[in-house]
Amino acid sequence: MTLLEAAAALRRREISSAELTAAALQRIERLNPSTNAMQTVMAEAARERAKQADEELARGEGRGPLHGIPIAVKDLFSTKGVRTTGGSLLFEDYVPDHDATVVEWLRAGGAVLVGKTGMHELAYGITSSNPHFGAIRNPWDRDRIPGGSSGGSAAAVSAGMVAMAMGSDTGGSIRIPAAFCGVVGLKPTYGRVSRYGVMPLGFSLDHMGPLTRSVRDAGAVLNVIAGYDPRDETSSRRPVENYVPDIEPSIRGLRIGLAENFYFERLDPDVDAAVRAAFDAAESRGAQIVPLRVPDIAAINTVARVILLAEASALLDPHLEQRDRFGPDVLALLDQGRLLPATDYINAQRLRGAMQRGFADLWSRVDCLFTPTTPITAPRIGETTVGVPFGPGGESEDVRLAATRLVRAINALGLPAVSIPWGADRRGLPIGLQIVGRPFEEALILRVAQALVPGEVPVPRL
Amino acid sequence: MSTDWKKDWKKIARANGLAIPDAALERIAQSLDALEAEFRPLARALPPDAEPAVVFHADIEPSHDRILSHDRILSHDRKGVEDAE
Repeated sequence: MTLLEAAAALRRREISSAELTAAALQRIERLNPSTNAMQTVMAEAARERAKQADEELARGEGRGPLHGIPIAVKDLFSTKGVRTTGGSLLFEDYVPDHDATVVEWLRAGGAVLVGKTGMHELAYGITSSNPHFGAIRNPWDRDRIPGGSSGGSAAAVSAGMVAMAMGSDTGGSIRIPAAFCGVVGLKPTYGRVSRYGVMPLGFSLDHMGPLTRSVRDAGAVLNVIAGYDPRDETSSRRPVENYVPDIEPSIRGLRIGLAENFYFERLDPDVDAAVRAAFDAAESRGAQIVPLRVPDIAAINTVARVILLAEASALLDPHLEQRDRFGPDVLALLDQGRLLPATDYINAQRLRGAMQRGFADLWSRVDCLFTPTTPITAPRIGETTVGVPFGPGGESEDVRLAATRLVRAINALGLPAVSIPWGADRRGLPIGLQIVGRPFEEALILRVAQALVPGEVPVPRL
Repeated sequence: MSTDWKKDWKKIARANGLAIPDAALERIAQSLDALEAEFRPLARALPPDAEPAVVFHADIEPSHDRILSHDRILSHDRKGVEDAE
């Protein structure tokens, strides 16, 4: 059941928030041992909050579509009185005295927080194989990673524990797990959703957004969490709009960019075929496909990596004497960041501005871009490189670099992007289609996404 | 200008007083060299008038709470411990 379907059933009194919450907690109890999606379960608080929600609804005090709906948030969103670890030993005992803005606004919208989802350590990686709190497993194949860093959120939504879980995305950390777990993952424009109260990784690259089982659900959540927050200096004052697309929206006449360079290079053949079919699907619904060359995405990726290495290492520098409190992959990245000169960071930010202007020209020719979210489907847990059978002679690529290759640049550009499930590979693993739009055009990319995936996404049988 | 030289990451770490073990430096050297090779030509081609994307605003509103820093999280932790004591 999707979030909006549950909300409609609540309004019709066909089900109560207490029943929805009990069902969520039962499913977590049954499936968490094999997926490790939830880091902390807040059963008692959730039952109490659900009871209140039912009482409010009975009095006619509805707060909107999230009222009474069980949800979860990634364990880097501060939650008042509830441990928030960031997937790190550094914060294993940290209990915030306040909620992150996103949590505050979700609670104000009536959502019932049932728990915190597991994640890659410090959100700095894409496997979610956390050395301190255990590997999170993909509900489609529990020998495989769910992606990351918001791996627990994607796994929890895919496994039907909750209809929505919040994630964060610094170099693809919402979209990659959404693709690997076959759910919808929305990364809004930088500044659209407050970062206040969320543990930072790369403060000029961090974005917050929902993972859901339908496109309309993602829009409904964005309606609640979008807006100006004075506690976040980078928060936008641009007015919000209704982000929930019509059930059967028109995309007639929209211009969809088909990149002739970069985005369709070195792909798993199943991914290539599936994503190319998305253009046919959009064209059959009246959209116009516009082949074009995109700016140098590899260069933007390089710039984004320099920025993230420097920002993350600057943030965590005071703790790097405690080397035994970090996993090896995260420590290796933090060490790299410490060795970059300040001039590289400044020059990367100078390049970023120039690249942003270069990319802006593209938006005069198209309304959005379709790309694969990832060039591969979910790798096995423990795999550090993936075979690239499509390269000359068979190449291998670092799993992290492969998974972030098609998504990282979008963080540096601050653009809105959504990953939707679009087919499966020969093993039945989900494939993600990424739709990228102009700044603050979340409503448009969600409309296009809804036209392609109008209902609940396919879910694994568990 | 020639770009065929490589940085000596061990010397850079020592010069900066960074306590990174040699074995860890050896593991990351290849990644850093690759990043260097990709980034250096881009930086060299920057026009002098390119401003950084992160800019300072003199007219910013007074703000109450800022984004969490890890330091602030841990100082809050310590305060919690002190309060408990």
